[in-house]
Amino acid sequence: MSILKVNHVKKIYTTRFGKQRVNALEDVTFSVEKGEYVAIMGESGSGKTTLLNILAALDKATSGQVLLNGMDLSTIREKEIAAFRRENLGFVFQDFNLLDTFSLQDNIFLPLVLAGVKYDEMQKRLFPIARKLEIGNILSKYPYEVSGGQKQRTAVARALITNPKLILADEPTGALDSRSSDQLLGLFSDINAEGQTILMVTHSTKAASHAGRVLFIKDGQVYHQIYRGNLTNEELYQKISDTLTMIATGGGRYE
Amino acid sequence: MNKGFFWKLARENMKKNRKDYVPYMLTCVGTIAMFYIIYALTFSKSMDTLPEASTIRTLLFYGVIIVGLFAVIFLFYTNSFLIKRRKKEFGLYNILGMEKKHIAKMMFFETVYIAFVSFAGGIIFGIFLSKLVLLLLLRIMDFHVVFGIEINIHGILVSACMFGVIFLFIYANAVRQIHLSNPVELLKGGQVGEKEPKTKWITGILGFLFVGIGYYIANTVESPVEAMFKFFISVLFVIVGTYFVFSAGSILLLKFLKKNKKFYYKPNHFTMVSGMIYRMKQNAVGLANICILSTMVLVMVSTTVSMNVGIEDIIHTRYPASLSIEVKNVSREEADKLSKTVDNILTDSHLEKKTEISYRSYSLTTVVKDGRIKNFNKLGDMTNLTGILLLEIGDYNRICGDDLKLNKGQIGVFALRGEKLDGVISYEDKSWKIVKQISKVPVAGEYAAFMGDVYIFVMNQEDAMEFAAKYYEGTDVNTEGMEYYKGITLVNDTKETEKQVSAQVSAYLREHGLAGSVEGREENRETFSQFYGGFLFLGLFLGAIFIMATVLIIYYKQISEGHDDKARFEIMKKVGMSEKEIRASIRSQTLMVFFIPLVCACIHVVAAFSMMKKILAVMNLNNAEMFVKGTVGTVFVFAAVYAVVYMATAREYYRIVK
Repeated sequence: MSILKVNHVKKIYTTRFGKQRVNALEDVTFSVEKGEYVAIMGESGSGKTTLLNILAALDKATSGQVLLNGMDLSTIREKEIAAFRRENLGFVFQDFNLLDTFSLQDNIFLPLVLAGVKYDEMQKRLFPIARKLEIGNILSKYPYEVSGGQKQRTAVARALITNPKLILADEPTGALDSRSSDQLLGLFSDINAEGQTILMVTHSTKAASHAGRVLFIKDGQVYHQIYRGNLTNEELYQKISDTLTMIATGGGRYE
Repeated sequence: MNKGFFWKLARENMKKNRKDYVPYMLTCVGTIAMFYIIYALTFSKSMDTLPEASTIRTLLFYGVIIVGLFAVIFLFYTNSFLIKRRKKEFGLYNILGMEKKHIAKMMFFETVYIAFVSFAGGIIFGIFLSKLVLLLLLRIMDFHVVFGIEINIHGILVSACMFGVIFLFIYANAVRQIHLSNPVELLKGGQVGEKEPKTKWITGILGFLFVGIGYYIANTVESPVEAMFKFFISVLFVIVGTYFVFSAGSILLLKFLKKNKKFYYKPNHFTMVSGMIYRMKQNAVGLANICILSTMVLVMVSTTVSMNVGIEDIIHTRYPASLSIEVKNVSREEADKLSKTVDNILTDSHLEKKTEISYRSYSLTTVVKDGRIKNFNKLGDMTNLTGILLLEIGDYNRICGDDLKLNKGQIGVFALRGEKLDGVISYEDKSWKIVKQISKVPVAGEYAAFMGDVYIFVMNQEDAMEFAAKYYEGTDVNTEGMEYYKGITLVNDTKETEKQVSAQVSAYLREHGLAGSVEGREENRETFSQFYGGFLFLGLFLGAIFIMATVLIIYYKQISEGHDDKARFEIMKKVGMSEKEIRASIRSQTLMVFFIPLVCACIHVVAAFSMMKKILAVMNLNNAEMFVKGTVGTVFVFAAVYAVVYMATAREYYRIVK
């Protein structure tokens, strides 16, 4: 069953005075099955972030449809959208988006607190996640006291703690060194292996090579996609790399 | 690098950071204007037209000191905030090859620029504002006293020196901070969250202690004469204490709230408590400032408003009769003759008496402590200053319709103002036993204006003469005759009839070589209204200015914090906080920021109440109920103004965050 369906989504930005129109997304169609790990690749300006914002219900498509678990995002009322986001989606951002005013633990609790979950329940949920992400001993620290890798793992914990249907990750390794990146990507693979659906936007070949399927976006359209099949990470890396070269040099579509 | 370059750089910097600099400069302008206005007012020439100019001037001068103190703390606070935000920029300059001394030079130009612009702005704004408020008040209240504030060169110079030094210190402090940190630290400067402040027990305890001492002083002042000076001392204690309590107490409170998991992990409380702890140091100073300014406004406005609402009371206390005739050192025969003459004058002028009271008395200025009278003339000490009106038993029985009998060594006592006396009263080797607590004596109003406690003693003729003679022994006061008072209330009382009668009575007094005076209530009404109107004007004027300053501070604080919080709320929105929840969170946070200082200000006012009442008693307002009403009314009006500012600010804050 598809957990996410994107049907002919189009997004046009108009400048403030309506003179100029920019087509950020031309016509995007794809779907994500439950338990999948999908990476979306594309160069800067290809519309990746716009797409992610639409999927996250932070932005609205000009036309087309986004169905999350069979529910059309555009039909959700403005009032309920925050709660919807909280209950169904988990976010991991490039710049972590942790709040300096909260300790790591409170950062992880934030969506639960907003949802009105009891403290004991929050504690119960936190324990296994913190152990898995190896942040159990720094929970009382503040974001400005820990490393980038630790911050990103905290952000992952915050995304996981609500048991979301889908995790949206926007360049999660973008601000991390290679060791922390590897660790984080390993974590994503583990989480995915446990059944968590992940959709990741990245332009790092390395990051994408951990996914089960890679979509390529160019000029606002899904240009190409690769399935992992039985490939190892290294082989997938090679294939992605070839595809990127081909896209960059302007070769035709092949399958 | 030449000077022109630094000038340009400094100007560009401020242009780039105008989001931070404009409110900062507005704050400087406001503070300078406030200082200038109160200084110029204190030494303005038109102040001389007010009666009691010297007393008011002393009070205002205390105000100058407080505003000056306030300016130092406040400007330092706002500037430290600014430096923190700009550290990243300085770090970048440093990395790009500017030495720290260049940065210091650049900052020097910036400081000079800010100092000049805000000083010029402050003075102009000050002059303009004082004129504006003046015109407004004159229009609304129809004052007789025209209270012009001329451009005060002296005030401008003093303000220039004062703020020059403050800016210099602010600059030195900023340079010190830049020098102490390395470029990488500077680069991070803006982002490093302020460390969660430690619980400062000592400061907290000191704060409560200081506030306690201030309250104690305010509530133990015995005579109104002491009140003025002690009031100032207690104000200083309370101000310092308030800063301490706010900076340490608020942290204590927030930490306590945070420890309470059930309270803390609720959507509204969660963001509010953590957000407030995060910037607690700044919040504390800001809140303390607001609290102190609010207290000042409340005290000034409530006292002056009460005085004006109670002006009829005051006039009747001071002039209990239409005409008051007082003559010094007369025998009973002379007194009777004078009384008859006055009655004749009234009959000749076809004036009808409503009531009449007359008596002879001794009046003594003494110091009374623990039932012992001390000679003020020998002591020369102003504390516990007490006025005694000494009546003979005969006069007392006549005017009060009583049938009291007093033997030698017995005394009846009435406390017009001051604590009740019990047991035995003594003066040197003489003592009298109190046999009667008198509940009311309708005596002359002049005593109401006495700057201390006032008692009325009733003795038999022999004792009274003996006591007076002994008290004035060795002075040139003649105690053979007594003072004579006659107060008449007329049926048709006008200024003209009073003038007419008092002219005739005065002529009689002169003819017979008697030293005395005639006072008319209606004659004096106008002077009185003017005097108290002048006070009301001062109260409202300073109140209006301080309210404006408070508004400016609150606004500045919320706006600058709004810019800080913008990023935080964006993140929370992404994580799943709805607009509604954001609004609610902002509301509860702003509510805390606004109403904690207001509540504290009200507590301060309550603590200052008894002292204010004493000072008002000197000004002839003894109607405590009136004063309570006036104060409560002022608090309500102030709270309403405050609520309006709150709503406007919350909206603006929300707009920024959104």
